[in-house]
Amino acid sequence: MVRFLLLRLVSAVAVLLGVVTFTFALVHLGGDPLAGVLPPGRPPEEVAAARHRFGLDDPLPIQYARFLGRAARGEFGDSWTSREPALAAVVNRLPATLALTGAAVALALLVGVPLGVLGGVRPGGARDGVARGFALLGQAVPSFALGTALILVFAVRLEWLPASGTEAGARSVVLPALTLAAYPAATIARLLRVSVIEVLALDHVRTARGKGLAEAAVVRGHVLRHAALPTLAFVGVQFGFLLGGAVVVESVFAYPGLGRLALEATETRDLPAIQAFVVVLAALIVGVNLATDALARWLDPRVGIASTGGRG
Amino acid sequence: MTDLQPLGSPRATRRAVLGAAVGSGLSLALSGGRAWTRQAPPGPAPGSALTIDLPAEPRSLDPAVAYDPNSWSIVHAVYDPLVEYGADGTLRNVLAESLTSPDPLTWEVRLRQGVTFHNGEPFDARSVTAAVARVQGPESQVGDIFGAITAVEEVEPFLVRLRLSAPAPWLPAQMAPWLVMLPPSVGPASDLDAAPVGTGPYVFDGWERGSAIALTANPTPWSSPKGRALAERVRYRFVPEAATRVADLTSGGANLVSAVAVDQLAAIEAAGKRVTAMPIAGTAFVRVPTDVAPFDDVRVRQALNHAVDVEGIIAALLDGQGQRLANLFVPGGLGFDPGLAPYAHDPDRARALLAEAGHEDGFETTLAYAANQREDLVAAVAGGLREVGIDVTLEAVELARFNDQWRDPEAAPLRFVTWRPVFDPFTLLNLVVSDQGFLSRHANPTAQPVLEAAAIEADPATRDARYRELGRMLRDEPAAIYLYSLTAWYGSDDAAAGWTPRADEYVLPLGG
Repeated sequence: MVRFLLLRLVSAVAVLLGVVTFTFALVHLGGDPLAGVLPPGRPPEEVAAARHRFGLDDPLPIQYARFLGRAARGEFGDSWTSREPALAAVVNRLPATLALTGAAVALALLVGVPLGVLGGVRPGGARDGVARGFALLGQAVPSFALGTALILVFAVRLEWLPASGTEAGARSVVLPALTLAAYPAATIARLLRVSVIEVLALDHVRTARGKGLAEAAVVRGHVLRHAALPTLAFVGVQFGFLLGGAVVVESVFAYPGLGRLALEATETRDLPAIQAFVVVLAALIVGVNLATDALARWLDPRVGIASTGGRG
Repeated sequence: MTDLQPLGSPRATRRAVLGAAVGSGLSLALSGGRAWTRQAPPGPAPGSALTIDLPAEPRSLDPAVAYDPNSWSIVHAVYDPLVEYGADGTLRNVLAESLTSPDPLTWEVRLRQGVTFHNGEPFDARSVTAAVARVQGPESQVGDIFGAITAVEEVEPFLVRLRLSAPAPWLPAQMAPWLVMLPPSVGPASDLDAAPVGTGPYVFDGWERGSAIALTANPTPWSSPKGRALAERVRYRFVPEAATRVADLTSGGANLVSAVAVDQLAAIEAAGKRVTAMPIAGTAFVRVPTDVAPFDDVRVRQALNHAVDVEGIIAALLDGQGQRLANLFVPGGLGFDPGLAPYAHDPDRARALLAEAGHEDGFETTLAYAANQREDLVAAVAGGLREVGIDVTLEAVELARFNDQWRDPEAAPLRFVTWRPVFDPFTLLNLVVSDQGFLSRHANPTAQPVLEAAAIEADPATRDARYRELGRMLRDEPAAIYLYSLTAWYGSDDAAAGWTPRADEYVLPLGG
């Protein structure tokens, strides 16, 4: 297990380096980074002074080497637009993002797992129909449409929950989390349904039934553990995706998370903020994936054997 | 000198009638200055609070860095400038008691007395020195503009002379948004985002990045012509989605929301809230270059102007608000000529002009617009062009890239632009129309000397006349497809009763 985790850690560092390099190249290939910082129509001498101030007049390899060196020390400089330390800007948004993502994933599991199991245990039945309908809806409705609809019902019509912001504490998280949870909940339901159907047909399940175990005990003890692996992999990937990818939902609900920060930084080509965001997000995703891999390995010790060359 | 007339009155509802009037000059030495400071205005009701939704968070509260109406809304709630454009579009004194130009190379400012900053420092001539140093500092976005000031002479504690390197009659218009007064203790490197301190009607209370900025009413306000504080506590929230801002208003989460989308107006009225449409000093146009065929032919540029049904766009997509423009000059701003007729929507004339120019079968071109613009407006403009045979491809471009492409010969030649403020057209003309402009792909050897003469003309009446002359030239030999004057829509509830919208688009929680 230790060797398995060490190898995963090494590959994680390589992934981080690749992501950071790709982002650096992308920002510079996308045009002059200063275009988003200075208002249009600045005189050339002012543009040149800003370019020098931000170190953009150095050759790209030097800028890249300087960036890597600083990033290794956790230094990204000040945001070009807000002028607060870029890393602090990203870290300050983390609690809100973690709260939203955590709530969304928990909701997705709470809804998706029972639906998937109920549908998979009796495929073609009424409960399966409900589960499949929900899954179809959850995957088909765009998040901005769902978010707006939830606002109209729960904020405007019923006045139960706030339409935007975070002033109402935990109540502020409910609508964005519901919106964000819809797609992963639907996907979890579909994945788990298929897995349960497959596992139910396996020999060890027939054996368990043959021993006279109740159906609920069979599902709990012999089906779910095996059927959970694809779902677990999806949740790991989705958690990472939601950390930085909730841009639309955060905009609809004016939620001050990482997604909005990244969107604003990209719009203004705020290089330090973009780089800090990418590094922090990549680290989080790598961390989540490591944890997911470890959990999968714990659930099924055969996981990772091919890639690690043996049991660690 | 003649007085600027009101730009227009806010309409209590969108169905009210527009009362735009016309301006023709500049008057800066207003009366009643010292009397403002003698009597404190009535304060807001105890415990009163106001929540305002803006569409975007300020980039910075540093007055030398802020450059959009959202940022200026908060900057001008905390700080006061020497002069400003009021709700009616006229330039008026705020912390200046008078602003005069004894010679073309000098602006002389007499300052109000008895005003103190939120931290207790007195406002006097040293504040002007600190403010000018700030806008001339290394991080300033307007260093070139205020670089025209070569010296700030503190003649007396309340009398300052700004010495200029060249005549700058346009300087007061630039002072209105940018040159807010700073405490004398503020240096060029002070962090004004963390703790901005001004003389304004509100005191900075805190900034939750990404969410909100909190202000409290100045406990020792002076009787500013800007108005009095409407609430003890004000919270500006940053809500990017237009529909969510309206939901905030109708569900009680906000009392005043800005940048209301036209298709949301009915929802606000249906919820029993108030809609206000305010004409602002801005213009929408499609930049047309003169340095590339077929647009180097004036007949083609005229044809483009005849092709677009601007009145139809105003009626169908802008709730009937706004005015078709004959050139780049706007109602209430310097150089606007109400007698100058805009191009008529005349597709037949457009086709004839294109045929005369050798394009009877039309031509292909591209129209770019920043991704934050309304796509339906751009599509309507393109529809008009297609109707006369011009095959237009629309290209939505990320804002930063759009601003990077103004002079790029490889980029789309046509560019949909909204520009504000245009109280004084100097900046717009200097950047976009002048053959030396940093954003310009326009050259007109006849108009250029008029443009340059107007930029340094000291007498406001003569300057206005020169701009009118330039306006006629730009109408006849278009630099753009001239569209409409801009309107800002707001929604509000009873807690914001008494709030006054402004022609400069700042959302200040102030009443009369």
